[in-house]
Amino acid sequence: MGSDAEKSEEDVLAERFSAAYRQLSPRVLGYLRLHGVDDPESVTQDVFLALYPRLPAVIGGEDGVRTLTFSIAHARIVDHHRARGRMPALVPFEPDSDPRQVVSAEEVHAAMVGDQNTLALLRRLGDDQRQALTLRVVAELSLEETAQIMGRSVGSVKQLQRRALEALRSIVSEEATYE
Amino acid sequence: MSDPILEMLAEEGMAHDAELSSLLFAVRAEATRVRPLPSAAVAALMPARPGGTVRRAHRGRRRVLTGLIVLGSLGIGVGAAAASPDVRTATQHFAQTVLGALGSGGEPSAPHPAPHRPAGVPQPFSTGFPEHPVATDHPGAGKGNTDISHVPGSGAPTTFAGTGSPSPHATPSPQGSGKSHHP
Repeated sequence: MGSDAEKSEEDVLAERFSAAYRQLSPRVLGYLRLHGVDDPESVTQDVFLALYPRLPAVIGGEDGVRTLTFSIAHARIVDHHRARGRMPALVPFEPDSDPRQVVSAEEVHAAMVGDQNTLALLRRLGDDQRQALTLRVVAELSLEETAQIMGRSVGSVKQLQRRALEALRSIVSEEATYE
Repeated sequence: MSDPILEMLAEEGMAHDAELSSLLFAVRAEATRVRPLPSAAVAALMPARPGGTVRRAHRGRRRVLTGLIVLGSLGIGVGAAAASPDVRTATQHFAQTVLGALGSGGEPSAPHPAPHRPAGVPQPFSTGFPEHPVATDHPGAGKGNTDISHVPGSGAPTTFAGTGSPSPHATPSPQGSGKSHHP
């Protein structure tokens, strides 16, 4: 009887894990790719292997699972940048004052070629802006969940999000002038 | 509930920026375009059905590989048999014994020394063989294949079909594996 109950719990856990993988793995992979992680496919698998033992303790249903999954993925990105000796910037990034943010002809051309290059546009944002925007757009997390994952206040994330959107807006406008 | 992208744009007062919203939708579509296959370790934690799909693909690939290996072995075996005079002689003796027995009322006949025929004489192996089995050195006669088909163990097609079946040990149940990974 006890073993039946235990087996049933394991089955439920396996089904929950499978559903989480089915629903979230493309988003996790895209999130890792956008942040330049080496071998994002492999890291995606690591994220889900780390999720599995923590799944029984998750509260909040699908939203809770999504937040935990992207918390793990975010930690992997931070680890990755640490390992490469390139810590994510911890100060607000100002694209207008960064001389590296000049639009090259190659980037403009790439942006006009196809969908693949929409990702290249995001890479032109600062690390924190990109984090905030991708957690909102790709992971589809709320402002509060994004703030929790990034370890920031809601106001700070909202500011990053606004700057990211404004930067994207100006990139789109610049491209329109090149056309 | 509206889309999170539209919700975010509304938060920033950019709800009517069609260009920006279409860009963000394109980013999301592109970023989530690839659906990664679960690794073996991840698949082992899933229920049987999705894991089974992955294993069936592996099983099919394994069948093809096994088939290629068996076919390769057969080719090498046939080539070696055709090239080796010892094998030809042994095969000849075996065929003589079997076919001689069939042709003489079930009693195996003593092997005859192989007479030497002129190269020009046709050697219809399948019809003339029971009367006077001949070992020929003619390389293009295709006798090797005929002989091999009578050698014990030449039931290679049967063996091939048999080896094509998946080994139960090679494909453990995902449920079992999942439990073993359970903390």
